[in-house]
Amino acid sequence: MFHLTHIAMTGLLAAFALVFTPASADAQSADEAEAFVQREAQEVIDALQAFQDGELDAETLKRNFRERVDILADVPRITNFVLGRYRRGADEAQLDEFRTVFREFAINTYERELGNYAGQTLEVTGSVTRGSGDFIVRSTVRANGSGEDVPVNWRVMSGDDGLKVVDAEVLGVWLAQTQREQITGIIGNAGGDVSAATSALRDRIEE
Amino acid sequence: MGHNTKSAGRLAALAVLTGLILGACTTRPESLQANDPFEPLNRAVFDFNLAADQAVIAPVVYTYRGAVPRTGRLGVRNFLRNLNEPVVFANLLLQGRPGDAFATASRFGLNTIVGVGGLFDVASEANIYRREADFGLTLGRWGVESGPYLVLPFLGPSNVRDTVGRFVDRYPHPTYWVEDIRESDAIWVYRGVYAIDVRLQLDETFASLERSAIDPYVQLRSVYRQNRSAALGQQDEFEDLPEFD
Repeated sequence: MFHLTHIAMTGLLAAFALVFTPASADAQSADEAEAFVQREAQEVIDALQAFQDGELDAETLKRNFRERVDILADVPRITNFVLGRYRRGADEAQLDEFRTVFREFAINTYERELGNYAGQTLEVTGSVTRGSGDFIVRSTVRANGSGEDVPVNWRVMSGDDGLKVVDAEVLGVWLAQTQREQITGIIGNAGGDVSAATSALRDRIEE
Repeated sequence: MGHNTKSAGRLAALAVLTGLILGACTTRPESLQANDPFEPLNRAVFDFNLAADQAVIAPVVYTYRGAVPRTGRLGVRNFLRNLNEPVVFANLLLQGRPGDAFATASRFGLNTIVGVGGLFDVASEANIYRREADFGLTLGRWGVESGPYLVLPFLGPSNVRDTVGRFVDRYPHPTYWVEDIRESDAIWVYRGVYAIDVRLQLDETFASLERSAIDPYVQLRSVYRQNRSAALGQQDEFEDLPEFD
């Protein structure tokens, strides 16, 4: 009798563990990450298409696009990432100025880079869970008509505001990683002066 | 006396060369972290390449694009890629990938015979897709490290391992087998057409440098390193990605 109860209890515990282990939570979140990219990245691409179709004026596009980018991407987290080790110990006023200018630069870059994909369809094809709250969502941007399909991977991390994209890989190249290499290089060349990168970004925005 | 003068001259030349190489080195942490100890020299070559591209190469490439219809350009690209299949085949064998090597040999046979000397990629239509391999990647698969980043005149980004690979890959290439081509001006025609096609394929990379680079030199270095890692399959499981916090 005791034996049977013991087996039943063990079975119950095992079932309970299956439902509530972190692995299960990750699996659920990976699905959420996939759904998040499918929905929000497509929204960004659609906003650009509406502009190209003449349904939106440039001013509305810019406003829409910025709102959409903030839903899709964690720009403050990306900003801290691209500063690398120079974030620590830097002057707070300089960091604030950098954050403002980098945000402007990054959104312009996304607009230009994503502009190539306007009118195309994003299809999520799977995901990899790197760790708790850290996912890679694989997708393909299907060229409607001419051109080739482009594989795009999204690094999605959970934070205070839920899931957000922190980096995107197009044709084997990660955007934020590449930006970090350039920005830390400029700051390093200037002896650790963050404002050197702010000036370089400002120059690029004005070009 | 004459012998001594010659030796002294050689020593002086060696000293100048060593000085040049040492002078071209950097000790900046960012450069060393990016495996780019020759950054000053590389930057000079990069600037030269960009100037050459703007002055000569890009205008020639755009003239070619304007003069030859898309179908013709695709035929040229297919032909050049088909000629390179023996190189891919040899490297796949060296990498211990007999299945992929067999598929590549099948592509070469099919495209050469049915695809009119490689002008048409009938193999892809038969779902035998193109594999990519070169001796730089083969060395990488054997565990050889990439070595310092290099920018080669006209050829662009590379590293020590991939530069060695470039030289080795000449030998299994059909243009090397045929003495009439190897020893004649035809080889330069081939190289010219090849260069134009490669530059045309890289047009989006050049445009992206214009569009989004903060420091084009560093962006290209980063893109090259990431592309080669991806080709080596080092990013498949995304284990080496940096921490974000």
